[in-house]
Amino acid sequence: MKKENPYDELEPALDSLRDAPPFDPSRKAVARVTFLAEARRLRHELAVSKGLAVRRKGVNTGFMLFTQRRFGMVARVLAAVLLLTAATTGVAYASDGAGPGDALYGIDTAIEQVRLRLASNPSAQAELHLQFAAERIEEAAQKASRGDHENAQAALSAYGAEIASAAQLVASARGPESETLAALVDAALSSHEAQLGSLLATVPEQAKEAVQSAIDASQAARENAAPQGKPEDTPHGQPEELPGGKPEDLPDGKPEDLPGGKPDN
Amino acid sequence: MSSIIGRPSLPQDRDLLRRARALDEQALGAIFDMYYPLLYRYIYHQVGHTTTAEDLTAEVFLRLLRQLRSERGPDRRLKAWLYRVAHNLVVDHWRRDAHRHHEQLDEQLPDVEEGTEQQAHRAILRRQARAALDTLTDKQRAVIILKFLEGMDNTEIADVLEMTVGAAKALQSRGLAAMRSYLVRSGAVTEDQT
Repeated sequence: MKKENPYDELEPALDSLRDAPPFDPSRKAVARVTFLAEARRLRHELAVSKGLAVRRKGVNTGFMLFTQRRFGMVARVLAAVLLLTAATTGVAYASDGAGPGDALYGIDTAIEQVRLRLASNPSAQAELHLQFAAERIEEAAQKASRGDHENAQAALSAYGAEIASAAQLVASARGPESETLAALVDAALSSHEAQLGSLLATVPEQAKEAVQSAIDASQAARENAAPQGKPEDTPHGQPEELPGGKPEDLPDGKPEDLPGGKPDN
Repeated sequence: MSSIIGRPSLPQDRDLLRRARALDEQALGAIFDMYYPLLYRYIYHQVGHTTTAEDLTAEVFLRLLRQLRSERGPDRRLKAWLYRVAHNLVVDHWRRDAHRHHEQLDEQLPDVEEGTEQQAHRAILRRQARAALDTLTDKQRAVIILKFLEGMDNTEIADVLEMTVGAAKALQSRGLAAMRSYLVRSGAVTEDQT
């Protein structure tokens, strides 16, 4: 007798397909760092394109109107705080793209320090150090392309400091987190080395030494960050237990051909 | 980690999406962490190759950024949107790859507490089931994977694949029939079972 539900007899076959091998945590970490770096780049692009001036103008106009109405000292203080906050936010956006030698670079690095202090755990801190290190490479490349070798060198030396901090965090990490952290640092530094390798090929002779030193620093940091002994299995990427997924009632009769157009992304 | 597979929607999605539109790094990081394992699994089930699945999963998130940047992208249903992009990337991948996807199927599956004979039996069945899946059309395969391997209901599947629930059910019915037919021919399912 034919069964009502064709899923019953296919269940063992479908069940055999459910398992998937875990993803590589280091590749996931690289994808995450790339994703967030791209988000940061886009955010900066947006801030520039939408115009800091418009933001400041709006806040200034509001401030003047507010104070002219003589709401008293408290209101003025409040308005001043608002203005300061808004201006600081604007400066934060603008400073994000600043490099060594630029007027806003000090603010950029100060904001980075605040972000590091606010990071909730060593893993988040290491990720930030790697993110800032990637920014230092971009800044070095930018400065070198403009012939500003002094500031390119400053950016590369700041790069060395960032990756040394990341490696230190890995070295002091304990437990299962340490391995993931080591993989994250290793993958990011490997990507940095590739970028620095490309930079080395394009910079003039006088800047090569600084780039080479940055590559050496990256390799040293990778060695320092490498986990000691045999790594244990990590729980990352293990497939989760799935619900049964029993099919619902199927339509009666022979189904018609369906439109097969490709959905838009 | 609690499973979010099969849930029709995530209550925190709307808030995350709102913040993600402003390219808030924390929100984007949370979206990445929440959906990377799910999308990787779905894509792996489609392509059968870990590295390819990892690459395509990473690409899903970069497309999300590009869409947010151009003020498009998901409106409310983030999960369905991400799976839809993943599905489209898989289809594009197949179109590019004339040799199809499962020829280099990874078999590095997590260890299970089974005897050698059972493991061998499961490995054979897995291979046959995979081959049966390969006989389906792109959409039939997507429906079967979303339904039986990812645990989605028909409404979610219809949302991901941008079709009616009836169409999703029809594809499911035809897909299962095609798989059964293949498995009967290959001896994995006996005639009397049908």
